Formats: sequence, structure tokens, C-alpha cells
Amino acid sequence: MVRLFVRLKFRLLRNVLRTNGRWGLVMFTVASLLVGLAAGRLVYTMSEVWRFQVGPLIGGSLVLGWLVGPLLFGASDETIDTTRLALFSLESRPLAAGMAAASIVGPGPLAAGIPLLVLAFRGPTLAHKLFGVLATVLTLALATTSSRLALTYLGASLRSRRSRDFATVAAGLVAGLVGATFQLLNVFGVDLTAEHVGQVAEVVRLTPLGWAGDAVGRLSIGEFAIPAVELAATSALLVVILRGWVDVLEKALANVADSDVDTISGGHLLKDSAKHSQDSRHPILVVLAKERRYLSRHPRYRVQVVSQLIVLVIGGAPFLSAIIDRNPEAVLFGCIPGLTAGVTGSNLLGPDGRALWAELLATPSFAPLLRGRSLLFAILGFGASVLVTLGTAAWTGGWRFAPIAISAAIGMALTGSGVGALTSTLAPTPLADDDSANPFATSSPGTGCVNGLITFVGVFVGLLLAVPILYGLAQSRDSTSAGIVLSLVAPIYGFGVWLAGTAMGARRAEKRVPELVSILSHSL
Amino acid sequence: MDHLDLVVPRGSFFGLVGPNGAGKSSTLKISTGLLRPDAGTAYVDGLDVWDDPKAVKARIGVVPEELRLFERLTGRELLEYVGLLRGIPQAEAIRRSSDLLEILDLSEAAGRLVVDYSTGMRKKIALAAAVLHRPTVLFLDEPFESVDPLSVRVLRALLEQMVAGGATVIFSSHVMEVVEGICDHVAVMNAGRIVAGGPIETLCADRRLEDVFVEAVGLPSTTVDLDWLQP
Repeated sequence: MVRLFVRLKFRLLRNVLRTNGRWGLVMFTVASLLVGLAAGRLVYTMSEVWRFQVGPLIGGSLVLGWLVGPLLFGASDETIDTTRLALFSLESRPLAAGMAAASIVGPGPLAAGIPLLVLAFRGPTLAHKLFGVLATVLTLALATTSSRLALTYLGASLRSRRSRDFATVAAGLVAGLVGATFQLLNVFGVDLTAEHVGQVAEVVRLTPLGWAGDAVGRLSIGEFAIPAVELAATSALLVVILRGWVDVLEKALANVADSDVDTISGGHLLKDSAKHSQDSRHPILVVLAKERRYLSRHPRYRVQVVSQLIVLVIGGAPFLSAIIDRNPEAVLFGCIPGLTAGVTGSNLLGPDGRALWAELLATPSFAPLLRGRSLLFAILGFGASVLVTLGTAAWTGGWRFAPIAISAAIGMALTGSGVGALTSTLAPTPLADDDSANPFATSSPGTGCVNGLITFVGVFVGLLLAVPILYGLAQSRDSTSAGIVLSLVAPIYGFGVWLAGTAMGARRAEKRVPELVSILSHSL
Repeated sequence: MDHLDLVVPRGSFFGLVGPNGAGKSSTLKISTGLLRPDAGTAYVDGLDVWDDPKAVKARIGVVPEELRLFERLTGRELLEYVGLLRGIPQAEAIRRSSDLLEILDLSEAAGRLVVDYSTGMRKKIALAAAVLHRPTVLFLDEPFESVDPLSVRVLRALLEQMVAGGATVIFSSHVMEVVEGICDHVAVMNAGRIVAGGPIETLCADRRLEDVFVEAVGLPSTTVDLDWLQP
């Protein structure tokens, strides 16, 4: 079974390289190997004191990352999907062994193991080095098996659409809170110093997450007794986790389907007050109405909005410190969330991409499809900006800056949305199906990596395009006339960028309609 | 596709049949602008699909085989959405949507999300979305698959009414009885080529369509001799 699953994993990876998803996998491989090698290089140059500290931190973050990452971003291979195996007469014990072995195959585990391996090879004797390698393998095994246990359990539990939606939103919420926590740490001046790192390492090395990593660190500086105990404890823990996984697998294989049905009361796409309209509605408004429905019903949309609001409203560290100091000028920064919210709408075609063919056949032009979608993000960004602006004005008393910030927010939101619309057509990525039996299984590895890179480039371009508005904001601090000019010009400027961005995106998309349909219809 | 040459008469009820992998779905996708051909042209109502896609899109309705729809809209919202995108006035879009939901026995499910629809219901709602703007040419890929016999009757009646009104209906199917029963023209595809075709009376004469199909495609070996399957 081990051989079979390892071959299956290699075959799946090879097959991805033959599909449209190949660039995602290639970018993920290159990015993860670069990060792994850079981390390995850093570890190689560390002193003994630091090697002692980083061992448990690397090991602990590997286990934790493996556990949480797939839940947030979707797992990257189909071998975890028990719904695909439910019809076969398989014993859960050998199946678990096969799936565990398949977990360690791939660019991710390879890259993740590099820093610990480098640390292991810093051991003073051959015995230290060999035990270090063993501890590295144990760390990877612990990370992958505990991740499999969690994914199999949740995949089996979340069979209904409602529970999957809930899990997706909860995961987004956690991600948003983690981001906001780091921002708040910055705001309140809690810098991560070497001393802090040491304190965290002291805690992690005492937990099962950090035992194996700590063993690698200690072995690298010549210790032997404590690492031996830690390796024995990790091995025992691994056996317990494997046993738990076997039990969960048995239940998962026996139970693969459940469903629930929602009935939406009421009902027309546009408001009933316009029911008797004999006129055609503008397609942008029609698309916007549909997107609004998706916003309230599609978990991916909700995740995006929830995360954005948490990070944007609570976060924004540099500006928060000005807010905390009750500096009235901080109100001007209230327009920033508009820009970032717009730019993060960089995969506008992804959430319902597999149905894009229906829209493409129904509209003469691609522009309204793109503009309706991006307008939703502009409105959300503008709404977040208004909230931040009014809140900040109430706290700091800088009401005189509020009208300027709100006008600038229109420009910022439209600028960001224009950039987001353009990046959406560069590398649209279909998101996991609504009806996928396992919400954590996908055959498109690297999807998140591509999306992240595109968003990163989008944020950079968005910031560049927002420079005129930012310059106007800086001038508005001391000059009333500059504030008035900015209030008038920023919305017009933003509208221009939005029109240009959506037009460029639409023109690009119209030239490659069949290719877009093919990419977005790709089976997940 | 391999040098495919296919002409569909205006106002016909045209059946495209062929074994799995013959190229039926690809033909329909190329004809509707959803798949780019390496070479060649496709015309709908005399308009080049690739040179004048806007005019072609206004004339056609499509039900593809892989039915991916807007899963988080209700059936009623989906129809209204497609109708409004097509430029149909709102009141008219609502009226047509209600009529189609009623005829296709989807009124009770109109407020349910499409993601919760069964395969047969998805076929029906997709067909409703495809005919909402009264297209002159309708492309359907396996429209009767997974649909119960009663619903097949309703779908047939709807399509026959469209043809009677002057529209052209082109559909692919594996079910010879259905094609034989409702089509007036048939083309048999195999390995990307048309291997037989024409008005069904001429093509079949006194034979069944299945016999014509087998003759055109070639009968695969039906002898199965697997010793490990023996009791």
C-alpha cells in the first residue's frame, strides 16, 4: 500500500504538470524551495546559542503549519480524500501507512525539511548527525500524520454544505485574527527580540510539537541524553496519532455523504419595487445584484470580507499608533482600507468561474461582468473606509478631515478595484467546488501560491497608482485648499483608473474566452 | 476533430450521435465559441462564430454537458439573472422565468439554491436559461441524460414548440430511440468525422437508427471471454 500511494502521489504531481495547473505547481515548488534553502542557509550560519533556540521553533512551526495550513488554504493532494476510496475494500491500517508515506512526497515536505536537515548536519559527530536526520524525519512524520488526522476527521465530519461553509468562514476568521494580532503587537510596541524568541522557544520545547525539533537543535550542539528521550517520546506520540488516525479513517470510509437544503424565501434577483419595469437593466447592476447574493451566501466571499475587515479595521499598524495618540490627522488615513480592499479582489472570476460560460454567452461584452464584480469590492472597501474614518474622527476629534478622507476613499476604492479587476484576468483561479465532498482536497496544488503572488503584485501596482492621492492627503494636513482639490479630484482620478483597469482586463479576457472557460472549468 | 464538415438545415431538429469520444461535445463547443479550433470556421445563421461573436451569442442558447451553473443563486434568481443579462426587460424576464419554472415543474423548487438541485432539475433549469431569450439556434449536449421519462416528455414538447416556431435545435445524444423519435435530421460522428448523415427518413429508410449507427461506426467485438469472470 505504501508503494502504491507513493506512486499515486508522483503520478498525480506529474499529471498536474500536464494541465493548466502546472504553473501553480511550478511556482509553489520554486517558491517553497527558495524559502527552504534561504532558511537552511540562515540556520547554517547560526551560533550554538541560536541553534539551540531555533530547533524547537522550526520543528514546532512545521507541525503547527502543517496542521493549520491545509485547513485554511485547502490541501494539495487527492490522496487524503477518503470519499474517493470509500467504495474500495481497504483495511484502514495499511491505508493509513500508504497515506502517511504519500504525505512526505512532494515539493512542500522537501522544502520544509531543509532547515532541520541543515541543523542536523551541524552535529559534531556522525552519530549526532544520523540521530539529527532521524529526528528530522520524525518531525516531518509528526507534522504530516497529525495534519492527516485533523483533515480526515474534519473531512468526514463536514459532509453537509452548511458545516463546510461554517468551517471555511471560521478558518478565515482565524487567519484574520492571527494577522490582526501581529498588527496589534506592533501597535503596542511589542517587538520580537532575541529574548522573546528565546522565551517562546523555551515554551515550545516543552510541548509535544517541539520535542523532535528540540532534539535536532540539541544534537547539533553535541547533546545526546535529552534528545534520546525526546525522540523516544515523539515516536510514542506518533504511534498514538497513527492509531487515532486509523480509527478516524474507518469511520470516514463508512460515512461519505450527507446533505441539507436551503430554501430562500422571497425572491427576485432585483428589488420587487422595480418588478414592473419595462426597461432593460444595466448589465453592471445585474451582475452587482448577483454578486451581492453571492456575498451573503458563498463562504469564500464571506471569508474574504471577514478577514479584510478584521485586518483593515483592527490592523493598519502605523496608522493605529497615530490614532492611539489622538492625532486628528490620523483621520486622513481612513481612506487606506478602500485601496487594499479593492486590490484584494484579485480573483474576481474564481468563486463562480465554472459557470462563467453562461455569463459569457449571455452578454455581448466582458466589461460589465468584470465591472459588476469589481464594483462590489469598491463598495466594500469604501464602506470599510467610512467606518474607519468616522470611528477615528470620533476618537481623535479630527472631524474636519473626515469629508476629505471619505472623498479620497472613493478614489482609493476605485483605484484598488481597477487594479484588482485587471489582475483577476491575468491568472484566474477556480476555487474549490461547492459540492466537493471533501472541502480540504484539491487536485490543483500551488493555487494559493499563484493567488498570493498576483495579489502581491496587485498591491504594489495599486500603491503606485495611489501615490497622487497619497500626495494630496499629505498636502491636506496643512492646507484647506489642497483638501478641497483632493476631495474633488480623487473620486474622478479613481474612476479613471477603475475604467481603465476594467477595460484593459475585459479586452484581454475577450481575446481569450475559450482559454478562460477552459482554465476556470478545470476540475478541482 | 478531423476535417469535420457539417451543415445543419435552418429550422431542423438535428440529432448528433456517435460513440464516446467521437467529438460531439467538441463540435458543439466550437460552434458556440466555447472552444477554439486549431483551424476551420463555424457559422451560425450565416455569421462567423469567431469573427462576430456578439451577434452569434444573441442568437444562440446553449446547454453544455457539464452543468456548472451559478450554484448560490436560487432557480428563479438564476433565470432572472440570465434574462436580465440578455437585455430582456425586468418584468418580461420575471414573466418568462415564472412560465418556464411552471412548465418544467420547478415552481416548488424555485426558491431553492441551485447547488441543492438534482441532476435532472439542473438539466431543466439549464434548458430554461438557454431558451429564455428565444434563441433561433439551440445547442444541447446530452439534454435527456439523467432526466426522468415524464420530464423528457415536457422537454421534448418545449423543444418541438421552438422548432415549430422556426428555431433550429441541435443536440447530441447516445439514446437512439429519442433521436429517432424527435429528430428530422441526423449526423453520425466517429473519430472526429461525420460518417453518415441526412434527413432521417432517407438515412434510415426501413431500418432502425441504431442499425444505421452500428453500420456507420462499426460494431465492436461483442465476444467476451475472460476466464477470471467465470464462476
